[in-house]
Amino acid sequence: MDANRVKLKVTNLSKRYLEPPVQALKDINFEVSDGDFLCIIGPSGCGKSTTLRLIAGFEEPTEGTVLLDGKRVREPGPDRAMVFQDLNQLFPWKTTLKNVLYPLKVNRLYSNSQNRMEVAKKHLRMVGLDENFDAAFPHQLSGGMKQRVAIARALALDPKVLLMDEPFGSIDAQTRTGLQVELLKIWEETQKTILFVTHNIEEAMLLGTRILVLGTNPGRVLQVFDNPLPQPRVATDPNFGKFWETLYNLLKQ
Amino acid sequence: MSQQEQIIAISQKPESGRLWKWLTGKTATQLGGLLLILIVWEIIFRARIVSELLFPSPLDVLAQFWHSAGDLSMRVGVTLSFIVYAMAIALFLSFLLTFLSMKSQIVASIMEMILAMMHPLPSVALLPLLIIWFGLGPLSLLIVVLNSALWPIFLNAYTGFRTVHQTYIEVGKNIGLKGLKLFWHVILPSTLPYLITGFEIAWARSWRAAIAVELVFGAATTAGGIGWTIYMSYFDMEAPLMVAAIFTIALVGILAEKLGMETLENKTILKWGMIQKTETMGAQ
Amino acid sequence: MTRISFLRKSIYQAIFLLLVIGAWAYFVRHQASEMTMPPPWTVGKMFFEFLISGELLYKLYYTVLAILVGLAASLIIAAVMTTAALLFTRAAYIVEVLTSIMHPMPSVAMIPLVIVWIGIGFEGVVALTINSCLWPILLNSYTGFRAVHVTYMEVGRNVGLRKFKLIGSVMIPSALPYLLAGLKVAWARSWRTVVAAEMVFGTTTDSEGIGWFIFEALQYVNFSQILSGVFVIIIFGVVMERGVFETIEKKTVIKWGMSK
Repeated sequence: MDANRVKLKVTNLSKRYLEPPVQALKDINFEVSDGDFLCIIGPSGCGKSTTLRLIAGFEEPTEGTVLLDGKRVREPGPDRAMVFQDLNQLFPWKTTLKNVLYPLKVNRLYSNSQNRMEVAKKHLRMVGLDENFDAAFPHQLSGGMKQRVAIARALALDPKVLLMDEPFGSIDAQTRTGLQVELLKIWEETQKTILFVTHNIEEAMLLGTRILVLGTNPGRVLQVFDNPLPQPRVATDPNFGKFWETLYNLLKQ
Repeated sequence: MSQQEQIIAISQKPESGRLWKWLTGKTATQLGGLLLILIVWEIIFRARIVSELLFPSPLDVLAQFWHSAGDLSMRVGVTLSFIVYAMAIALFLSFLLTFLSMKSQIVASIMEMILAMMHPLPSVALLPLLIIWFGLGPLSLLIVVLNSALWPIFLNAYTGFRTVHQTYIEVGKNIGLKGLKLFWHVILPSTLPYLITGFEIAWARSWRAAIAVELVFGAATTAGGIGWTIYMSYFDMEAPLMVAAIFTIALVGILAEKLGMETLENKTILKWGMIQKTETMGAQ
Repeated sequence: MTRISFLRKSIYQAIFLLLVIGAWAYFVRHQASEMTMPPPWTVGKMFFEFLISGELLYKLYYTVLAILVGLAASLIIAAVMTTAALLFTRAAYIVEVLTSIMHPMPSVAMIPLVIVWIGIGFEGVVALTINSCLWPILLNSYTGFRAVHVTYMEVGRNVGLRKFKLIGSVMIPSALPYLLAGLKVAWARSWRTVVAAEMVFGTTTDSEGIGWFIFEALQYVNFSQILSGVFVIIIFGVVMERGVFETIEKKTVIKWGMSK
């Protein structure tokens, strides 16, 4: 696969709300290559979630375009499967397995139901849930497990880009560390292109191959970094503190 | 106590203990309590404090119950058929009105006002008006029952659809659902806790309203439901039949709530964790 | 959907009401007979006269008084039974089985029984009210007090509350969402039952109360009187639901974040 092929291209993206009148985003430009893991960080209210929601197609940009594989994004779709922060994003009336299976059925993926079943199960195992959880309903799962299922659901759709909107934001710190490690492993296995929004500097540094920093008022791109830390990235790396400080100072402005 | 004695004591204790436990337990206490009520009832009957015409023996009631089981269930069927029609129409109207109210603020304002007025109104109070307009027939009964069912279902449907958890809708759109599919597979299931509540209240109210209407105008209604049976037995001073009919009504209520509504809840919203397991606060 | 201002909403509602009255007047002029549907001004005039003469308010007062007496009696009985059920396991079993039988039972079905046993007067209405109110109140107070959060009780003891103070400042506020729900159901049920009962009583002989007021009017097809009665029932229902219960909830359980 050509690693430098542009997967997603965001051009002059602006978003203005009328009530109350706010310029949420102004002239956002960036590109994401195939296989990239791009983390978007910024202070609260900088429009990082809005950026992701525009890419997902939940909202219309006031100006500018989002191109996915050269085609303009106009509405939500499974080629940009999304994992939300909300711990209530699994349909409570479906079991764990059916939550993953259902979107495949809707989109008639993988030719027949037997294949779909295999794909769904494969992805649940990939995120670390064994078959004992297949028949469980979402309310019987812990927060971390719910997010794992949501990741499995999104990945099973084989999206062109995987959108993640602070997926670990409502998870306790210890569980979050485990989830981050596993997400990296999954990314390495599947070679997915991932856009990951977070407000946590460490999380962005541990996960992203590239880090895009947004600023507030109006939301705009401050700088894009290539992650200088060598794999596997650890907090004890001598460069960690320096890079952290760079990002921190940028965000503080 | 020697070791052997201890062993005997321990091995014997569960035997008598189990019986004692059962006797003081829940089922026995409840059965005993109900039995006691029946005995007191029979004693009052035997003491002839009240005329036999007004106060039947529980045994008479039981015999009557046995004797008229077929007729009583037929009467219940008549009344229930009105409720089924009314519920179906109420459900359709509620969806239509909810749809219009969500599309237009004018409709929403008007419906909120009508709802505020009609929801607390005892449906049976509409009966005199309906009789003047439509006569004393099944139509008037149906409209009263419909009025009882419509407002609770509409209120809950409207609230439910307005407060659908946004993330579910976004997930639905994200995985490629649109239009009718999004409505059927995402929006409708997420309003289910509200819809079921609406249905429970609608059932409780329309069941009561139907019986009330049949009682008020029992003599003139042609199709005799269970309320009509009570009215007739009262009219003919057939106390055992009257009490048997009242018991039938109680039984239908318990069956509908415990077997119908509770099973529905257990198999859906409770199983899915959309509501917590608490005892219901009671349908209005 | 953006929130709509109170003023705009009221204007829509007022226009709608005017249109309804207009349609009514038009319909009367061109279609209906005066007998089955008098024009709005006739009804308005009659309503006003009933109101001025005090007749309407007296009928309402009679009905509401009976409900209040029955409600008070129900509260006392429910308090005793709840206390017994909370103190003694066996009493709890009995309370459970009684409520599960009597709570789904429509009180209106008891009307003939009440007529032959107690009679059709004030006592009859009170007896029916007790049957309508007791079970929802009992069910909810029993459930509510059993569901009192253990931590609140422990905190209460920890800060030195004992007995009545513990009941008054911890248990009752904790159970308040349930107690209010029980009261609301009790009110809704007894209001419906009593209106129906007054109509049934009326089939036997002259009666009292607002239910009888509209039923009596039916006998000689006095449309204005029926409608006046229905208006009063609607207005009173709105006042109770919006005025009384919502205000209490807003000042207590909603303000405290215990229910939405």
